[in-house]
Amino acid sequence: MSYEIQDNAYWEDGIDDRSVLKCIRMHKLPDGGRRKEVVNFSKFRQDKTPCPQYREVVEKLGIEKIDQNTTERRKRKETERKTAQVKREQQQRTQVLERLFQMKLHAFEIPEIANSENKQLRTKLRRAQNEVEMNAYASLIIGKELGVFDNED
Amino acid sequence: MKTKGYLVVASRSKFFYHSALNLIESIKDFYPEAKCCLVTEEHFLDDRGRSVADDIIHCDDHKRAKLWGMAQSPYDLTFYIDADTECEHEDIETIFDKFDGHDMMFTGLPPERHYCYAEVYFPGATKPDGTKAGFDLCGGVCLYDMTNPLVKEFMEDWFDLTVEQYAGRWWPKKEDGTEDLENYPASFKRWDQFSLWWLVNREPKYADLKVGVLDDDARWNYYSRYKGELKHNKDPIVIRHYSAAGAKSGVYR
Repeated sequence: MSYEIQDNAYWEDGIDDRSVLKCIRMHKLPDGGRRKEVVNFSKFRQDKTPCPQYREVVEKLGIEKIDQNTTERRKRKETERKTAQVKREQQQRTQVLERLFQMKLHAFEIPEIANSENKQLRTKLRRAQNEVEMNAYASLIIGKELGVFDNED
Repeated sequence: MKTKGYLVVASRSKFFYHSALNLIESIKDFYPEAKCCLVTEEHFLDDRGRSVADDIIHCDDHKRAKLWGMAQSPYDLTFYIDADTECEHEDIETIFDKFDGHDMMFTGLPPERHYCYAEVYFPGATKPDGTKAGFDLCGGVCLYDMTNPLVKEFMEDWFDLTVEQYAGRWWPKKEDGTEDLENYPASFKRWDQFSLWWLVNREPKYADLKVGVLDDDARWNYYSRYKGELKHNKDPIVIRHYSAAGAKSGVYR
């Protein structure tokens, strides 16, 4: 047999079941190269007879080693998942902040806002924490500049 | 009594101009008496710019007009701040008390923040004991004392060297006179941080210049890409840096 079973095989569907394993077989090619084959083996074939490839891997690595690989892999995957989630959330927070910043700059280009001397509202607009708040203050400034609130009772 | 003020440079893009005005106004939100100098291209200037800036200096559209502008500061004690930032805290007023015996202060590039930067390490920066090293100063903000002639000269040299570097006319050489690309990879030619590193670490003229990193430096130049959970800053953020390319694109280009 011209392949080598890597020692990082793990139970595909969980350590409690052990009915399917996943492993990597490295095939030696005639030209001296190697080909990687990732394969799943079920404990039993469709005709309910034991799968010889499954047995081969279990005999070579042992159940304990495959259990250990499965546990380590699950921990690693969970850590990777959490790290990716934190990274994604951070990227989203950054995007929200950057977008809000850019929108504020746009708001300050509107002539009524750019020329407004209402320092209090301009500061409120600059410190707005989200788009709704920003739009509210932008509207207030524009309304005041256009005299919209002048005729209120 | 030394004069104190903030310096902002906005060139090449409307984004930086509008951002610079926003920065100056945000500084004055917290410190109304602050003196702010705007260095910008004349054609960008409008009424808002003229009203918010206490001093205005015209620059050209060189990619690193920032460095030229830093050397033109009208204030003895100057705090330069990148235009794409915003002030968030009243401590902005206290920055001029942070020299701590130095001539120039920057923010740092410690390893825990390297995830935010494209390139840091290069072989030519390796320490005598073999420790890997590279850029350790970030030029996003800079506190400096213009009354020291060597500081002004440094700023001028930083601009001049960067112009030469960007134009492909200067790069560290090997003994045979060719560019030393093994120790100083070509990819670093695009960074003005490299010319800064060179002047601070390899230029004998500036060996006695006291260059330092601000205490709790992250709060003085807090990148929006920083991971909040890593808590790079101890005290509240003073300057937030909106450095993502997205904010600089769109209608401003």
